[in-house]
Amino acid sequence: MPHAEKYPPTGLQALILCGPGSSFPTFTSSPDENPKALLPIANRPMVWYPIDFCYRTGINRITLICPPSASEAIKTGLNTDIYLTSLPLPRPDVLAPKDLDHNMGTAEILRLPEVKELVDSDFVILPCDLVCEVAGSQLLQAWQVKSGSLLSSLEVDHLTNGKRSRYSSGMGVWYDTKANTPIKKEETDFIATTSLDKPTMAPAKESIIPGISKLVYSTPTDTLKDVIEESSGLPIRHGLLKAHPRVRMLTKHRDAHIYIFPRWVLEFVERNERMESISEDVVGWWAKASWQRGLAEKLHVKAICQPQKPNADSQDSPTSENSQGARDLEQALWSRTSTMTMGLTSQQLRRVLSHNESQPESEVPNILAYVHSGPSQKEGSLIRRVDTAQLLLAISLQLAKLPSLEETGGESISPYAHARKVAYPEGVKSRTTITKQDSLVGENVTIEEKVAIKESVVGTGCQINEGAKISGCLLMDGVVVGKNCKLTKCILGKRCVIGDGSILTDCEVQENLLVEPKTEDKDNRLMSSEGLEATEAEMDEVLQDQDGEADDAVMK
Amino acid sequence: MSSKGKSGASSAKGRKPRAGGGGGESKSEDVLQAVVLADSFQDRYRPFSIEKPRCLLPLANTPLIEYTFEFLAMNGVSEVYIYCGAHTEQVEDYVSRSRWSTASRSCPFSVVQFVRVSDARSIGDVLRDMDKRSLVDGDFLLVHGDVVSNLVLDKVLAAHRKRREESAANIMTMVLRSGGPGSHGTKTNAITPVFTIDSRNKRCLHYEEITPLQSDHYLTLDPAITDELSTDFEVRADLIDAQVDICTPDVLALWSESFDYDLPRRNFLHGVLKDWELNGKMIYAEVLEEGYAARASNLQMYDSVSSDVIDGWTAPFVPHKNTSSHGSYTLYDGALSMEDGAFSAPDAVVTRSIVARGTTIGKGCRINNCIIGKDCQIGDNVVLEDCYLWNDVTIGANSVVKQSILADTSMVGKNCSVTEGCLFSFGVQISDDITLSKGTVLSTINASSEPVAKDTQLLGPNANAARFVDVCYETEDEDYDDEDPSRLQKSLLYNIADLNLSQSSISTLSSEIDDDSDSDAGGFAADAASSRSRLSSFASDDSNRGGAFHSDAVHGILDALRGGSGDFDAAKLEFMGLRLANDASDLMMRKAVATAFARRAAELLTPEYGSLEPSKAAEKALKTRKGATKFIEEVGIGGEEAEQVEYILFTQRTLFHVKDPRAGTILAALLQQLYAEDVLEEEGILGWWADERAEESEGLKGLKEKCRVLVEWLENADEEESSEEEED
Repeated sequence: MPHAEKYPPTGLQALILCGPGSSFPTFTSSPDENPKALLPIANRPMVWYPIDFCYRTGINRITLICPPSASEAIKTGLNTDIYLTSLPLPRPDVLAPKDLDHNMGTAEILRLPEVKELVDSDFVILPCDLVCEVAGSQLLQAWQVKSGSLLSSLEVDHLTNGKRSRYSSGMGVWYDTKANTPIKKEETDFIATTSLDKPTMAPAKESIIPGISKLVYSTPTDTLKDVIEESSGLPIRHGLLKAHPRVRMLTKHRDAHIYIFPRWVLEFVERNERMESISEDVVGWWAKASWQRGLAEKLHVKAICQPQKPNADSQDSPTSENSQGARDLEQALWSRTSTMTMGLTSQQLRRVLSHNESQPESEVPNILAYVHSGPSQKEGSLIRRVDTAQLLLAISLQLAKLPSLEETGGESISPYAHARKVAYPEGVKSRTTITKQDSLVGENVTIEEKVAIKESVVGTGCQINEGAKISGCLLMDGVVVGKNCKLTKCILGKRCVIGDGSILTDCEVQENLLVEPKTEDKDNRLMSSEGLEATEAEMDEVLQDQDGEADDAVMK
Repeated sequence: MSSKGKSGASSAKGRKPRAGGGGGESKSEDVLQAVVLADSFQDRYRPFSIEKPRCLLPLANTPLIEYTFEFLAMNGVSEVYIYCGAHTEQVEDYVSRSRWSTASRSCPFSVVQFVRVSDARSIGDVLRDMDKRSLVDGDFLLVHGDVVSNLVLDKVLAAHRKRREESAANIMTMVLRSGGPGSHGTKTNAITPVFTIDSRNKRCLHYEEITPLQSDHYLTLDPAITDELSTDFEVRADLIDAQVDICTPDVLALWSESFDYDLPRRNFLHGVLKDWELNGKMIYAEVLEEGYAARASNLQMYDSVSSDVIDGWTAPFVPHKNTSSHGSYTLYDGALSMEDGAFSAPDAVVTRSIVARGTTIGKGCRINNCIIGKDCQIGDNVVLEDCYLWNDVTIGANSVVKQSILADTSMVGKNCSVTEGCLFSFGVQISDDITLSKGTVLSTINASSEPVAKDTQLLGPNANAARFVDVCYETEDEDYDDEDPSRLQKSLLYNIADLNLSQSSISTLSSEIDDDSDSDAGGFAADAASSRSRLSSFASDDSNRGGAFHSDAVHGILDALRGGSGDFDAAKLEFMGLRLANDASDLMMRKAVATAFARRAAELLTPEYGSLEPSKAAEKALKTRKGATKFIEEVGIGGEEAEQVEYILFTQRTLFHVKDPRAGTILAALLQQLYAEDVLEEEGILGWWADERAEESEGLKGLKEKCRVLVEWLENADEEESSEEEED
């Protein structure tokens, strides 16, 4: 497994937002006890993926931000989970700002005093549900190349402490939702991008720099639909086309919620109190402000980016000097054109105007977009947000198909390959069928005779009894599957028990639930009704007796 | 220079290549035809085009049509059909004496045929006529007679044929040239074409033109584009459109189906793409990154293209390559091309210019960036900057000419000063010591080809010309349109400095509106914008067929309203029938309904109908017939704020035409009644109040003012919400 030592430190810090989040109604009905961040994706807890991504990127200062009520569960997870504990040092911190609740927008989180205090450099924001095989170091490199001016990259303290903001641009990542494992009704975003200046030197082959463009518009596709309905068409401002005559629009991509932000973004969010979500508001408005005349002032971008930072002397802020220069130049040009227009030939005039048009908006830093699609989306470069049960299942199964390190001899194109497909072969009785090429079986799983497991992920400590057929399923930890059950495309929550002879298809089963023997169901969410839910204490009791019979647990 | 396709010209003709040998073989046997539109039904080259057709005017000392023919020849065209319109004889005469005549041995074409269309009034008419005659029967190139291009179309043609074989619905491929993100000399001023092209299959999804004169600052893509047509597309305003199209004969058929299309881009392309569901046709756009393509479609473009020829961008179609039959140019340092037999005094400084044979340049001249035709006489110490001198032009000593076009046999006296943007038509002479102000256009004849009285006061005693007045807009004022950007292209200089251009609003970040979309500058503005775009897009309907529908509809409703009591349903039915028969748009309906009710209310004020008080009149107009208000709501408005605003605007305009001092009061009364009946909502009325169209003239303003009380009342009732909205 790749580890941090391989990657040089970057001076950035990372914030991983672990909640609010309740997009898994079946499995996070009590988000404080079972936070979404700890749901397993292919047997690893969800939050392991973004943390691992940070280490691969070379970011060691990682902070998980979660509501206070969920912090206990997350801390416990960090300290006990086998994957999370095996991550390299330094360990991620957990920050639980006291005002953070389960309904807070992502941008609002950046306004919390605890978070503002925490962030003292350029930073990366990640969701807890991100699965990203693409190396973060590449993203980071692209961001550095495309956003820093030459002066700033020559700064002496370039890679040392990261206490100051050296870059002014931000970057986000969008991926094609239809490229692989398309899921019906997956949320998508509508983005419009425009190309940056062509590089003078061809970038290295594996570099993602050609995929970087400038974001000029971003909004969730649902919002876009409302707009389209309202104005019976997709309205595009002429101003956009004047500023950027070539705009590419993508409707089926999705914001991966990987943001690399310069520190000034905190102030940007602070000054614009109405921004609620990072993806929709912060990024959306920033993108627009970069070309829409007058919007930057309105959003205070200029005020934030222009003045000298209080703790930096003038030599240390070449970016602001540059833009100052640009502005002077612009003013000079404008006044020149207004007085001299009459004396210029049309060609000269055109030349001056073109100068003019290219200058003014450069004051607003770019928000870059890495669009992950097309040829770049080959094997081993998955980027996906896992925020619905369907995606959880699909991505788990996709990751289960990765050849294990055991099979490939330690080499893998994906950082997510497991060491072995069946972690604990001793628990598997003879006369069972497990299709290893597309299945994954965790530690301490006991599998009785005549069991067939196809294209499935079986979590730690599961117990599969005789004759059960499991196909296309995701079993979280500690699930007990009764004799002769037949499960197809199901997602089974932690420690649930499926009674003997049940036949379930396309079902989601809540954690700790006991499904009666001989249950037949299809396309359903099996959850305990309110009030009948077992408390943690009761469950513990049950768990203690579990090696006996599971019959005395709560009924559906 | 000659063609590949030519060899097989006599064999396989027909829409589909005959199944002969291999597939590749049969394709190259396909005859490539071309339709050249040498008359563009425009007047942007006036006054020159009054005497000579545009395609024969010289660009870099070569008639424009030569460039077109060369372009066709290099791309393997073998049959050429030319439509000339005005001055057809001149063009025929020219061609018959040139190497393009099929009688000439060096002619690469097997057919050069002139097409005459009687009373054609637009390009659309010509193409519809072409369809009837079935002259073209395979793929053909559609180009204009003023195109200057060296694009190599092999690949594009192959791609087009492949697509056409895949489906007969793929009817056309436009050949465009990317122009880079910045400004570009050959991008047209004033009109920026915007193509929306699918990134994957190159299908063109939408076309629209934007101009600085539009009051609507949005272009609107069809919802289907994002919904089903494409997930990855580009909106491009950076393309140079020389209007080179590869078409199948189906294109002509489509022109025939749409009798009201005039322009190939603004009408045909826009319309066909918009009605894709109806016609099921697909049009593609190939964007080339190499080669040159531009249309010298107006004087500004003439200027740009000429400049590009000097710089050699149009190679091999530059003077020193001597592609035209009898040139003998030599290229010197400093981008100067001189033909044998041109004479320049040793101390004259000539740079970046093209000078034809027989021309004499006097002592001490300074000439930069000019194109000078045959047999010109340029006196001593003359300064020429950015000028175009055609043949036999005489410039007196010590004169200064800047950025002007001087046509054949024109003459400038001594010590004159001709400033930027001046045009001298054929044979114009001015005396010594004359100073012409910017943009002076001189001609010896007027727009109807009659000789003019010479203006000796302006041009001196020896003059034979006067200012040229373009009468076109005065005679056909119905076509006159404030938003018509072509008027910006009529002069040599492009200038929008003195125009009053409206600015687009800035997006607002308001807590009420979470979607933050680009379009909602606070909800209402977007609606107004979109309704405006609807207005402009329906403008053509209105002008063509709207008139008849409007008057029929208004009279129908008025009759029904006068007809006493009873239910309104019969009138409604009749109205809907009329609508279907005329294929009227919502906007036309709205206009008709608003006009009818407003007129009814106004006529109730007159003694003939009982001299009612304004408020009574409004009430009677709306309420006498049961269902009338519902009719307004459903048929007349049928929508939200934007539609309501339009409805009120139409009402306001109608009342403005009623010469009654109480018109304003009637307007207020009508609004109040409709508000009370829940037909209009306060957003609609307030939206109208804020709409700039409501005060376009003093008269309208006066009417509007009468509604202030009503509006203020509405605003007060609304105070709490709106104050919150205004915060940001």
